[in-house]
Amino acid sequence: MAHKLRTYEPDNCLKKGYFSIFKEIISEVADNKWLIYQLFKRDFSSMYKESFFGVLWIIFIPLLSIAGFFLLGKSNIINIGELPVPFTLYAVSGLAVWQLFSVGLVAGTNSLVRAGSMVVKINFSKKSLVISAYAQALFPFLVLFLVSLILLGTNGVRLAPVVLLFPILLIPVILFTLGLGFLFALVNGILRDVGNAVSVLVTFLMLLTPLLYTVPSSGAFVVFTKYNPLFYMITVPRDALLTGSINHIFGFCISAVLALVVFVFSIAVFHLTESRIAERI
Amino acid sequence: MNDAFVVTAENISKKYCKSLRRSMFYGMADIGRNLLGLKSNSGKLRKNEFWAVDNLSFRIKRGEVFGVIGANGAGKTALLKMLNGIFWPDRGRITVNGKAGALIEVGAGFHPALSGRENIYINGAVLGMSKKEIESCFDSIVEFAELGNFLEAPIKHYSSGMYVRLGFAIAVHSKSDILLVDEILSVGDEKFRNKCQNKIEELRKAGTAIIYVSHDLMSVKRLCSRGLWLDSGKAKYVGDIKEAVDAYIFDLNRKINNELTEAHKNKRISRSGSGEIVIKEVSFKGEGKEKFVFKTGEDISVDVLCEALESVKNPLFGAIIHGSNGTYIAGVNSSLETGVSEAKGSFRAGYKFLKVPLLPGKYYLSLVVHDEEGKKIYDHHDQAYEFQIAFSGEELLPVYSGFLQLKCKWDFKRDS
Repeated sequence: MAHKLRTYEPDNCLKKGYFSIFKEIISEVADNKWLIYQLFKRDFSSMYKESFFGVLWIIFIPLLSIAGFFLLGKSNIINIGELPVPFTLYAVSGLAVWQLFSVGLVAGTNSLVRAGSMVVKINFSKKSLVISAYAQALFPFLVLFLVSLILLGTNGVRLAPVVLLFPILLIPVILFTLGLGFLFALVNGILRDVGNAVSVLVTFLMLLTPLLYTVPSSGAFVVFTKYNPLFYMITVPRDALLTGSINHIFGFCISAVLALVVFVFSIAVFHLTESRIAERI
Repeated sequence: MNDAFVVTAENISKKYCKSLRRSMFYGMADIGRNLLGLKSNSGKLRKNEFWAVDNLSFRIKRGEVFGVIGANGAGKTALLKMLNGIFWPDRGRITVNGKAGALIEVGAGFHPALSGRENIYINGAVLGMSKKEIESCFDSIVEFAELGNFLEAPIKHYSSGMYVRLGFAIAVHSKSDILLVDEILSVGDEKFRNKCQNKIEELRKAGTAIIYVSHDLMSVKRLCSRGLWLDSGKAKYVGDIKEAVDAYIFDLNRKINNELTEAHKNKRISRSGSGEIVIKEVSFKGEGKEKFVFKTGEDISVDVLCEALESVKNPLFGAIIHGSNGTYIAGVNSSLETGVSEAKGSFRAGYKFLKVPLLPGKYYLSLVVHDEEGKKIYDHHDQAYEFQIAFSGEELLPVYSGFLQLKCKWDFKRDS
């Protein structure tokens, strides 16, 4: 009978060496695919099981934001700008990609604390908690993406071959959000302020990122948008879907590298420190 | 590592912080140091930190049930969490050879809105079972948990018994080499406890090592062969479980006795009565010395110093034993004894309850002095004196209900 020998001692990571951690991380995630699925199913079912409208809430909430912006644009309170496609299609497709960031980040950040009683009483893969929480973002994304495809069809927009790259173009936003989710979940375990701050920050970032309006041509906001990696991670895939062209290639590549760095750094930090967090949750 | 040992703990310690704010700060500092490749200096105590587990060493073999006993706050759960790898020791090293399953809290991870079926899959996955493993033992889990028609119902509608049975059933089917069980058998009823103990025995025979934490010392004695007595994080005894339990009980009784002696000295008695005779001082004795903790079946002597402030003829004395909730259990009266014909000045009244058959627990004694007819109460101390019947570890009954131990001789015959 082959037994897995485990050793628990202080500063284990220093003794094992930092380079061994990536092998451990990959093997942990691979071994826990079934657990990740079960945790996702648990969160997803419980979220909508006791609700009358159930999964329809996934559509209601972004549609309310879209309606609000549409009304503001119509009444000339804000300048939506010149759009390549009808506003509803522009907004829905933007919000679809945005869900991968906003829903994923909030869920990931709160994942460890929400499962607190489990974390302090059972030794299981904590990474699975963050990943499964992030997976919750996939559902609202898919729903809004489907709505976008329907709107594309009804507006007579023909899909260009570049649309095939759409899933690949989403990888940076997924990696970036997962990475931040790992990091914030850890810190939230110690300082609960982080969970609240992230919820506020996500709303604030949505207003600052040109999702429901085009980039203004002048002002400080132009500079902010230029250095906002989320702008590239969200708008490049959206533009590919709507216009069939890939714009801002340089900014997108830099953002993709940043997303990869954030992801690798964060998951490594998480792996090294998750047992310390368990005693403080 | 010798393959016969599934757990080896070498000088392990764990510290906790009393201040939440400082704990956050220390957590960030330790993580920061580790990330920079520096040792966290976890072996040293900082301000507000204390050792919850202090320098423990032991080894556990395959197929062994290892008991961990100690008072609340002794560090038992912290030790289990370290053995499970939930968090790591701050000093020393733990080596675990095999899969460790934990039952630190039954149903940890259950979602109340989901059905029994859904929770079996989720909890099984959290405990490290694959889909195939869960499916292969699904029926056995349902049968053990006795879910009946409730399998598809949300578990928030389960009785507490069903909830506990389900949690235990999943954990014991998780095919662990080491199972950590923390005080879960105290939750269920008698039938459930027997079922769990039989399952633990079955797992032990199959080679699973079980680390069993409980305040139920009878079950610890029955299930375990070796054990550890923890006191304020330190090992007071590691070895034969009977000796560990006996040493723990002796120490526990000594501490309770000291507490009761101290409380007795400082106690302010609320009394009622006309006051012609007053009870001045009361002391409990057993085996020739003053004490407040006795064993079932032991003689309990009560020595009462009284003072008659005026001459009183034929006073009678009474004593009543009450349960901790005030229930009247038994009473005695000196009316049939040749008592005091005339009380004047100081005198002593001695009671000796012979071979008291009270079961372990907390009891109160009421004392009263009244006239011959019982109409006039001179002095009455209602439930004023606490004493305890302590667990001796030799009791025959596994569970106590009621107050008295009845000795019974059974006689079974074939009905012709």
